[in-house]
Amino acid sequence: MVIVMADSLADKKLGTYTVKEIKSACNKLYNLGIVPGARITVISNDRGPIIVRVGNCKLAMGRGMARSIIVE
Amino acid sequence: MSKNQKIVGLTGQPNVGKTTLFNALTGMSQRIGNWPGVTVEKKEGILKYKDTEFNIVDLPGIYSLKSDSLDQKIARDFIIENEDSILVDVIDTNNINRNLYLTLQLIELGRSPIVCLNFIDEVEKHDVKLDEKKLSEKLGGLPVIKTSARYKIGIEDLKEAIYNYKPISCEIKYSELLENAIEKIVDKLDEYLTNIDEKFKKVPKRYLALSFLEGDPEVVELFKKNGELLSHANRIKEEIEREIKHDVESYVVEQRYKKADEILKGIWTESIVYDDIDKILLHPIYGFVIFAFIMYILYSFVIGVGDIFIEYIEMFFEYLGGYVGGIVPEPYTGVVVDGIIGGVGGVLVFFPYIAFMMLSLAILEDCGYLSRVTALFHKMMAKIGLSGGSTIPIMVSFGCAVPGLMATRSISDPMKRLITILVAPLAPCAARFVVIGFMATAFFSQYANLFALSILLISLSLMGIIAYLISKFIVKGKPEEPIFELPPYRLPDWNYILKRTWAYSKSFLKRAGTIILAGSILFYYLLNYPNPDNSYGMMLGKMLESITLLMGIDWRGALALIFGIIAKELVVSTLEIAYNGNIVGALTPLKAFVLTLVTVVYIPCLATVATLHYETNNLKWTLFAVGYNLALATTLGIVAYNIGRLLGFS
Repeated sequence: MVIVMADSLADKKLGTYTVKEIKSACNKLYNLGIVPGARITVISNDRGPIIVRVGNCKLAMGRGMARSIIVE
Repeated sequence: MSKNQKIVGLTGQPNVGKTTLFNALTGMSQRIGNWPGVTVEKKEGILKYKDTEFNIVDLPGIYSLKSDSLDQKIARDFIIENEDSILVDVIDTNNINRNLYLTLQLIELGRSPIVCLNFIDEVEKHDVKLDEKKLSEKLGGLPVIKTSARYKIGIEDLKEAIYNYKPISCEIKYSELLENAIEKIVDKLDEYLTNIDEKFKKVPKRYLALSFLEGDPEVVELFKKNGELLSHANRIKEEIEREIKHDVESYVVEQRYKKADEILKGIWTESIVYDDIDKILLHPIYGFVIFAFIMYILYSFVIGVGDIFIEYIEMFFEYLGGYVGGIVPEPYTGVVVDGIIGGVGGVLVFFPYIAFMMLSLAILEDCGYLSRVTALFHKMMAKIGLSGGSTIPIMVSFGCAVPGLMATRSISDPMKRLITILVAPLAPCAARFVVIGFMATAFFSQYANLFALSILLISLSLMGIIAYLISKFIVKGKPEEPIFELPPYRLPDWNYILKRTWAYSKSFLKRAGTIILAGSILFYYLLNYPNPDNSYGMMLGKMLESITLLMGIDWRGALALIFGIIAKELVVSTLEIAYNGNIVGALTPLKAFVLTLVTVVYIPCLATVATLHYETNNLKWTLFAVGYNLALATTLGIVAYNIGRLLGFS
C-alpha cells in the first residue's frame, strides 16, 4: 500500500530533485536508473501521466508510481 | 556451423539501436526464428570479415541480467552457455550512465564485452565529448568503439574490433562493505555448494554471491537447494542490512549506478535537453486529438495510395485470367481461372493496404511516436484489463490481425499479452472492411457510413467487454504500474523501415500463396462438384442452415461463412456466386446487417488462427479464442435478427 506523502514526486512542480527513497521495491524503477541519489527532473506534472527526465532519458509514469518516489 | 565460425552476441538495453546495428553488420543474411520453447524472437545473421565468418545473434533488449523477466533470462542463459562467444555491449551514449549498469553486470559474469557507444552522432551534435580511451582504461581495458549505426559511422571499426577480439580478465570492485560480504559468501561456497545446476558451474563464484544478495530468483533458488549455504548467506545478508539500514537488494543496484557514475567522472558531462512537445502529445485531451488526426492522415494515406495500386492489380489479374483461360486445356479452365486466379487475385488485391499500413506504422514507430501512444492510452486500456502496450497491436489489427498479433511481442506482461492476443482479432481488419464496404453500398446506399460506423462500434465495444471479462475471470493478473520510456524523436531510418515493412508484408504474401491458394481450389470444387446445381458445398451449407436460419441466413449465407474462415473477403465472392450475382434481390437490409455482423465477429481467418497458435504456443488458448468468437457471433446474430424483426424489419 502506498501512502501519500507530501514530498513524493507526484506533488512536485517542475524542477530537478534528488531521489531520497523508493517506497515500493520496483525493479522497473531501478532498471531505468531511478535509485536513491539519482537526479530526476519533472518536465510536466499537469494532466495525464507525469513526465520526468532521468539522465538523458525521458519517462512517463502514472501517478501511483510517482507517489512511491520520495524526493527532496 | 563451420569450425572457424565464431559466435557474436549483441546485447544491450532496449532502444539503443541494437537492431539497426545488427542490420548494418549482417546485411541481408538474416534468419528469424524463436528462442527454444518460447515465442521471443531470435535473430541471427552472418558477418564475413577478412578470413573469418561470424554468427551474429541479436539478444533480447534487456535492462539487467537479473533473471526476473523472460527476456533477461534468455539473454543471461545465452551468455553463460556460450562462454567462448564474443559479446558486443551496445550502449545508447545519450544514456551511458544507465547503460553501463549492464556492462558492469557482464563484467561480474566474468565476460569482457566490446563496448559499442552507439548514437555517437547525437551526442557529438550537442558538443559533448567523450574520451573513449579513458573509458576503456577505467573499464579495465575493454575495447570501446564509437558508432552510429544509422549513419554507418564506425561500423568498420566495430568489425575490426570483433575480428581482433581477445578475452581479457577485468574486475570491478564495489564498496568495501559489499566486497566483504561477497568474500564471506565466496569463502564457504566450495564447501557448502554441493547441489549445483550445470549452468551455474560456468559462472564466477563472485557472481553467484552478488546475485544472491541482489535477490536474483534463480540464484536464490540454487542457494535454497543447499541449506547450509543458504543460512550462511542469509546471516551475512542480515549483517549488511543492519549496517545500511535498508534492504541489500537495492543496495547492490545503487552500488552499480554509483560505480557507473564514478567511471564516467571526468570523461563525460551530461547535457540536458529540454523539449516540451510530449506535454501536449500525452495530454489527456490534446493528445487524443493529435492521435486522431495522425490516424486520419494514416488511413487516408493507406487507402488513397493503396487504391491506385489496387486498380492496377485488379487489371493485371483480369488480364491474366483472360490470357491463361486461352491457353489452359478446356477441363481445367474453370479451376485455374475462376478458382486459382480469381481466389488468390481477390485476396492479393489487398496487398497494397497491408504493405502501406505496415510502412506507416514502421515510420511512426521509428520516429518515436508509437511509444507516446502507448503512454497516452495506458489509463484507458488498463480499465478494460489491457495495457498501453496493447494499443498498437489493436491498431495494427485494423489492417490485418496477423501482424497485429505479432506486434504483441512487445508487451512485457505475459498476461496482458495473452488477453491482447485473444481480443485483437475482434478489430475489423481490411478484409472485413471489404465485406462491410460491399454490404454498405449494396444495401444501405444512403446510410452506408452509419451502417459501417455501427458495425465498427459494436465490434469495438465487444472487444472492450470481452477483454474486461477475460481479465476479470479467466486470465487474472496484477494491475501493472505504468512507466514508459519515451525515446527521443528521431528522423526515420529508411533502411530499417523498409526491412520491417517487407518482413511483415511477406507473411501476407506467403499466406496468399499457400492457405488461400489451397482454399480457392477447394472452394471451387466444393461449389462445382458433383455438379453445380447440387454441390457438396450446398449440402454442407444446408447442414448448418438449421442454426443460421435462426438469424435469417439460409444455406448460401452459411456456406459463405464457412469459406470466410479461409479468408473473410471470400464471404463476398461466395455470396456473389451462390446467389448468381444477385445478392441485393436475395437478402433484406436486416439480413445483410446480421450477416455482416456475424462475419466480423465469428472465427478469425485461418491465417489468424495459425498466428494465434504460434504466438500463444498453446492449443488450449487457440481453441478458446475460436470457440468464444463462434459462440459470440452466433448469439449476437440471433439476438440482432430477432430485435430487428421486433422493430418491424424483415
